[in-house]
Amino acid sequence: MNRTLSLLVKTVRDVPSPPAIFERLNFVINNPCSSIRDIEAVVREDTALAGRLMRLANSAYFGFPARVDTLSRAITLVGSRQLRDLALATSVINMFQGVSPEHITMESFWRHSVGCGLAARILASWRRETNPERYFVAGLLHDIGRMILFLKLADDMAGILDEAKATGELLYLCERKRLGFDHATVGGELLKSWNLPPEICAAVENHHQPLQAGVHKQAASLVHVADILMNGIACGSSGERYVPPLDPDAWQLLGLSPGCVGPTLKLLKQQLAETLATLVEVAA
Amino acid sequence: MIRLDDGTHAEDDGFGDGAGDGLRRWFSAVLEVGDVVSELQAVNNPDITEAELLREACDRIVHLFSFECIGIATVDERSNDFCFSEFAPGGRRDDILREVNRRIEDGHFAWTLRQTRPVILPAEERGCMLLLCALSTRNRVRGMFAGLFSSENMEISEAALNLLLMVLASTASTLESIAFRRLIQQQNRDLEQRVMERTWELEAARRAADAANRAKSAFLANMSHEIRTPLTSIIGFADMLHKGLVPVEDRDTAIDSIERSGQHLLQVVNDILDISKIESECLEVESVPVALHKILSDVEIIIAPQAAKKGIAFYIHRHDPLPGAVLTDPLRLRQILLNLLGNAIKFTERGQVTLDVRGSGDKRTLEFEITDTGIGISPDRQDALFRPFHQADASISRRFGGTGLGLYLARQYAELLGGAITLDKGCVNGSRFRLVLPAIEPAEQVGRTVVQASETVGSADGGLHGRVLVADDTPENRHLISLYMRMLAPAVAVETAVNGVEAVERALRDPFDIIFMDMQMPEMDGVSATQLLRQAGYRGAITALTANATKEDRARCIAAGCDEFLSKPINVDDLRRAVQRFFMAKREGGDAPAQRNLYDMPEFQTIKTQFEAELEGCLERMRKSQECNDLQDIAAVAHRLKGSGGSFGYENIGESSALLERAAREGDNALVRSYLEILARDIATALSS
Repeated sequence: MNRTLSLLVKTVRDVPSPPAIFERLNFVINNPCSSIRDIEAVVREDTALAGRLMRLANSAYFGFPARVDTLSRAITLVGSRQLRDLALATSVINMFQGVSPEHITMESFWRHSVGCGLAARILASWRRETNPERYFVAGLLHDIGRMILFLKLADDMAGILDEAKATGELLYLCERKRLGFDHATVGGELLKSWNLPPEICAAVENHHQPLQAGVHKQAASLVHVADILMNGIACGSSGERYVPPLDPDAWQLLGLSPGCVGPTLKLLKQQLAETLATLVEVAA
Repeated sequence: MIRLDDGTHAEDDGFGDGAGDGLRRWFSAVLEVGDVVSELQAVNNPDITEAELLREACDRIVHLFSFECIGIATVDERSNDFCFSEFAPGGRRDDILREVNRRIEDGHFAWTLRQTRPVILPAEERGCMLLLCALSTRNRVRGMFAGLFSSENMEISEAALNLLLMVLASTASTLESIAFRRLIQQQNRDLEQRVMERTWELEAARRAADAANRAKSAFLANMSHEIRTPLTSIIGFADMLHKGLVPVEDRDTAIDSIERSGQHLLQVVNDILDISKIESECLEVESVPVALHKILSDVEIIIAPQAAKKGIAFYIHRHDPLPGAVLTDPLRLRQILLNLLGNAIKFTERGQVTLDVRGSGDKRTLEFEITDTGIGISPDRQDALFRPFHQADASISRRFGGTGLGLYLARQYAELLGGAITLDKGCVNGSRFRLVLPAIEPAEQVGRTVVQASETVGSADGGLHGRVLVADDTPENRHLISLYMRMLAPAVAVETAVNGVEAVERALRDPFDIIFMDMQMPEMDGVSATQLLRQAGYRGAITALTANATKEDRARCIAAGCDEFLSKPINVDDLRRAVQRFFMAKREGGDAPAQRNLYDMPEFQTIKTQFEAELEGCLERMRKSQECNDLQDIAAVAHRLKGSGGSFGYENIGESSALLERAAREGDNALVRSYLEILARDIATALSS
């Protein structure tokens, strides 16, 4: 095993597994015999999760015309698979609450991540994708690998950041040069080890080279475009100082018109603050 | 039946474990959904209509899922409204609509449209839930599904919802296929329609080209006929005269025939020339002040005898107020009127031909209306009438003669003059043509300069002395010009040359008063000869003679150094003018005693006034003679007026008197009557001006 691979494995292996609630939720949703009531019962076990979901259901994120006052109503509105993805997202964020890597501010990191998730979800809704929450999760977690790198390989990352600053090179290219892999690979490996849906793993792993994501290249392209939009409007940062180049083939593949960028950013602005406040406890 | 409100289909056995009744039922339901999805797909129903599809989908869904009632709305393409068109069972239509309308009002309906999954809302009806799901594809929303089902609690089966979603997605994609198919069919129809139209146009164009081709062939045949007929009489009579086969008393008639045939031939050739000019857009028209009464009297002089000869009446009605003069091309206007009136006479056997002249109320246009009581023009031939090479009927040209070019030319002239000729299609007895021209009045008053007096053809000017040279390679032409010269100026010596070289040699040896130079000659043509002479400093007058009567030819001759240009066949009037011009110049500039213009001499004015005073008396006398049928006397008086009319500058009086004299000598009472009227009018015009 060469150094690169072993370093990667080591980096990922040390990250703790997501909370058990996620596993149970996954099980009940995957069982075709489950009813909404069964799912509701699992969510109730985690009061914090239940509270977040209720807040989300009543936020601009869903824009539901009337007040949603029961969890079962929230679940019917959101959909169970959608709910599972959201539960996953909140529990992952939860895992990293309270950590503070040296070189980035958490506020800026989550702003970039939640922004990217919302943008991917909105772009997916223009394409009338059946489960837009999936792209929210993929966008939200696209740079989770960099969080790991900052936490586990803080010294290496300090050098990489300096180099990128000095040479004007894109950060993920410096990562590849110095480490032999980049944050996207780390993120993809981590999510695979958590048994997340392959579409999400592939989208995260390939968000800098979306067309290499095989059957999941549409999802990867959505995250790719969303990431570039967030870097473009400087919505938070995960350490990158520049806007990565847009892959024109990825944009072509999505079949979206350039005219949808404006409305996407407008909707994003309406939803960002509230969603960020719901999912991330910045005060903590 | 898949229960939406039951998450426990397989619970008896535990999912995936054994094969109890519940699980078997679930599997068979899932298989049935698969079956329905495939049946609803467009590929399996290529000809299904939107309504049939919705009917089918409704039936299947109500059969498969535990709905109390359902409805499907589609988007109206024009208004973008959602219209519920299909319900199952039909009796509960109002229940669905009530629930849906409530959700439209509170915004849930709109919200659902943006979702890609079924949305479940509490219904107003007790114990019931409303399920809404957009019927959408990647491209657009195509409709909305609404269903009511009873559920006491929230035991909604996620799996059942997914199955329902499959059926609805399949329905939506088939709706889209139908819409696309309709679009393609529509475009196919449009395309076919266009191909058909194009084919039809091509076919029509081909037929038109064929017809034009046939018309040209027919025209050529006609032309050949038209040219050969006069040629036959010209050659025949000339031959007979030459051989002395014509009795002395018939010689005038024979010579008349030759002249008339020649004139007709010239007309044919001129028409063809004009047509080729019009078709190559080279024909230009003048815009000069033209006195209306002059044009009308010109026309009358030519047409009245023709009418009289056929025993039909001819009237010109002038509807005042008319402009005294207009800016137009007198030659073309005369041609148009002569053509239209000539046709009218030609095709009328009895009754009358009238020319009505009137100005429009706003004085901007002048209208000439030619009406006859002739055979008329049948509606199916009216359209072809103005096309070149067409007569209303091919047989007509054989019966009535004519080149079939006249009307076409007339219309072209009218358009060049800024006007139009139309046929009154409503005219039942005979035909009526209308010529409308812009009536632009000239800025300055038109004086007698417009109606220039000319001397009678053939009057000899014995006062001219000198030498002229006729350079032409054709002996007939040399002979003819010599004869003309002898007639016009008997005291002038005429010499001849057969080519340019000879002309140059002789002119340089001993200059002439005028050289008539044919442009096309062997050895050296007229242009080169003229250039050579001018380079050598020759200053005598050179008049070009050419059969190429175009404007460019004229310009070429003038550029070479010619002073004047005469086209062949030679018009005696033009020749006389040319001769007079150069001999006058000689007289004025030379040693000969300066002779003032005849018209400016006081003696001339005195006799002219006397002549005018006699006119009324002459007319009165002729009228009386006509009443007592004394044609001899009329001829005598007319003869006198003929001679002096032209001399005093009253060309009209001279001409109508000449016609009157001839009619009187021929004993044609009808003609005498009409010419007498024309003369009376001319006299009235002369005295009033």
